[in-house]
Amino acid sequence: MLSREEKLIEEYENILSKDDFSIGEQELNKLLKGYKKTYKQLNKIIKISDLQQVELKDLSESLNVKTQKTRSLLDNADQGFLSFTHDCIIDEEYSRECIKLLGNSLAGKNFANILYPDDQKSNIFLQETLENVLNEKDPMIKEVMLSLLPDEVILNRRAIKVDYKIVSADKFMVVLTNITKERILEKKIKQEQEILKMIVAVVSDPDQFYELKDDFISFADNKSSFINDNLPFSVNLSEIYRDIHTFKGSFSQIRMQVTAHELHALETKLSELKRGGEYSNTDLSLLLDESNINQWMDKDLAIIGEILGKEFFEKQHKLVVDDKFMFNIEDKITQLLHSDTRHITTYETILSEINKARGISVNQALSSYPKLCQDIAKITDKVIFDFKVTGGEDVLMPLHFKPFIKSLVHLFRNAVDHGIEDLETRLINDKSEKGLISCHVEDHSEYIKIIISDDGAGIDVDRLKGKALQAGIVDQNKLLVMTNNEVLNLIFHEGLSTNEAVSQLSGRGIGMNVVKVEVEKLSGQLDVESQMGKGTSVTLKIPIAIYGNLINIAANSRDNITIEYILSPVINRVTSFLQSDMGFNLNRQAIFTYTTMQKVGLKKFTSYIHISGLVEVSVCMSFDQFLLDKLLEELNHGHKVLQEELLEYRQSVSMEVLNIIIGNALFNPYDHSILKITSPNIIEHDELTTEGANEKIAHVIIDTEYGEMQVLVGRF
Amino acid sequence: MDTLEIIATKSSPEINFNAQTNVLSIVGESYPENTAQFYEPVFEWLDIYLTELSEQQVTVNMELIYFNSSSSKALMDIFDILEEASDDGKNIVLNWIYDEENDAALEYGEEFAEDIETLTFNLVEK
Repeated sequence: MLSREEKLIEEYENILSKDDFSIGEQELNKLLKGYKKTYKQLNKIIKISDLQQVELKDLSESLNVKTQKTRSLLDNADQGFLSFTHDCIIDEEYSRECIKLLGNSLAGKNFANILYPDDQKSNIFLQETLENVLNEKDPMIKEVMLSLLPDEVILNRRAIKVDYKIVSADKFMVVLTNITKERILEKKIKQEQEILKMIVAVVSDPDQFYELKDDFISFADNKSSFINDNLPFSVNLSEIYRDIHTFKGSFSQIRMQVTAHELHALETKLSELKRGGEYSNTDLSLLLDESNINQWMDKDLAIIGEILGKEFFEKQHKLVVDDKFMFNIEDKITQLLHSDTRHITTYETILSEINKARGISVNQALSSYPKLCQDIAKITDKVIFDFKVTGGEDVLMPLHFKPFIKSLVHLFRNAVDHGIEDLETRLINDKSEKGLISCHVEDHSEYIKIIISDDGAGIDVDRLKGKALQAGIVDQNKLLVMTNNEVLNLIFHEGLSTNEAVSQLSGRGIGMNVVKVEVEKLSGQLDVESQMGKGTSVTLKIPIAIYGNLINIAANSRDNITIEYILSPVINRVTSFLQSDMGFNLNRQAIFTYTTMQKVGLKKFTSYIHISGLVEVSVCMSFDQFLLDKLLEELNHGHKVLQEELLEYRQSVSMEVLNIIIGNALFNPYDHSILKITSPNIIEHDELTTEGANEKIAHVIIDTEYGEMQVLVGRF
Repeated sequence: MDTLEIIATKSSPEINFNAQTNVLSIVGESYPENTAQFYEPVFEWLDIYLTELSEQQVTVNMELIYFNSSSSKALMDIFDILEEASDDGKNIVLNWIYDEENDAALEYGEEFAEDIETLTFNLVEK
């Protein structure tokens, strides 16, 4: 490189070695020129070299920054990146996640040893495969070989996904991903699926489940008796082994996995005994005793119970019978009852038993409400005590009570949403943190009382008065003479709510009215009591005994008491029909009288209906013309009727009203064979003639603002 | 005269000195293990070429991204040779080609240009 300079130096050394120091000017000039040139070049080289150093430093710095950035990206990638050469020795550079997944100080360590510290086979397989990959030329085959490596390992209780990549001729990169969460989730989903399969298996064949459960319980309880000491060990062992194996198969079939798993484990132990040969009957019974066989089903049963409800286990030994079949039996018994009145009590008992089998108790019908209250409490951020409906276990719920029972949801909602105060208010008022809600059923044989109470804020009577005025439900004068209790009962009036905000739960002023309507449909009564700061209690009184009592009455079917049992629900229904449905005011309470006169005077329009079956009685309703016209107007929605059609209309209204009232008052789906109601008819006379002398007839006068009506019940 | 063609390697530039077109180009990086040995044929070729050269215009294109110190010595020797030829009345244009983004390459070109007197030394942005 420096050949020119070297030549110069050599040249001048030669001159100097001549010892005569005779250097001419020309030579000196050449020397100087050469020196200058060298100096210039040196100078330039130094300058450029310095520039290059600066640039190099800049480059290296920016490279450092880039490296840092890349590293930071990799470190925060939630994936581990590392590389190694053919010998599996991990390189210096690896991302932070690798430390988390594989441990500290990875550089220089053998990747295979870290990944499979205790699994020699996998360890060797990995190393050999990687080496083979490097030796292979064909990239396709390389890929195939890599794909054969296990892509998932469990290390330090973590599931790690391992991806191998070839980065250069002698280098592998590994990407590690922590998939523990995914695996746990997958496991959970799988468990849920297994549980679902178990439930489906159990539900689709409950008898098989019950039988297997009982068999296994009996096996677990009597396991020692399965070992016959008089028989050789091998015979006993085979016997037990077979039993266990069969149970395992059966439990697997209905997917009771935990139980099946335990049985499998025992089976394995038993097969060890089988192989060992030097055991005795004592060892066998010891093994059975040590295994807590009677607890093996617990987990599976707990899950089944949790999902299907504890009642599921109680359904065992129960029979499903078609409703029609029951009705047919009832029909036959009723026919017998008519022809054979001597054994009426026996028939009554049988009918009542059949009924019990078919229905649910009032208590059961209400049993979903405590949970509902808890749910509402959760939504409304309140806390209430757990409670159970008390009483009413022996009162069969008539089917037609269903809408009424459903309507009670409004009372329970109100109790939690409006009644129970929030935690802070309760504490300020020295109340327990948890609100108290209760529901009690009283059985009075002829009627039941359902009392729903809360220990909440109570109803603000003054505010209620204001609301009632505002809604136009009462006027100031009426309010003045109303008792507190009467005011409170305004909450059942349509369109009145004491709650300002209309929430999804309550406050529209409709709910309470729904309860009232349903109660009245059943000829029941309702009453609310409330004390500010102490709580509210709603009592619902519902007649329930018509059915049962009619059977009693039938025993003395010519007794006058028949009249009263028909009368009471009918009159209840008449008054609620006039007041609630028609919106008429009553001038006074209904007047009840009895008469034995053979002829009873009637009003202008009269219709009657005949009830037969268990009882033989007729009901007759007789209307003042003005009242009937008002009813006509209501039922005809205000449409005027042509004069020539008026008579016909009046007659049909009188029949219609009678039909509605009797239908509603005596309607009972169970009664269809016991009570038969004819179509209504018109009486065109102005008096009624009874069947015989001394026949007692109930005579009730109901006085409305538009005139009177008579209700007559008896035999005529 | 034959064209001098040396294929680029990782550490040495591509050399293409064409006596027919009179375009001589050096492109690439220059940090050969033995710089003297690498540039020896270049100097030899140049010697003969410049001796034979008459009136034609010669274009020398240099596009070097990186070069080490001994390569800069070689480059300066080439400049000297070209400068001398230019002094002798040869028509030579040297283009120092640099990338727009490579400030350093421009600076080196400026450094080299500083001591050139008669040779036409252009700094050309690529």
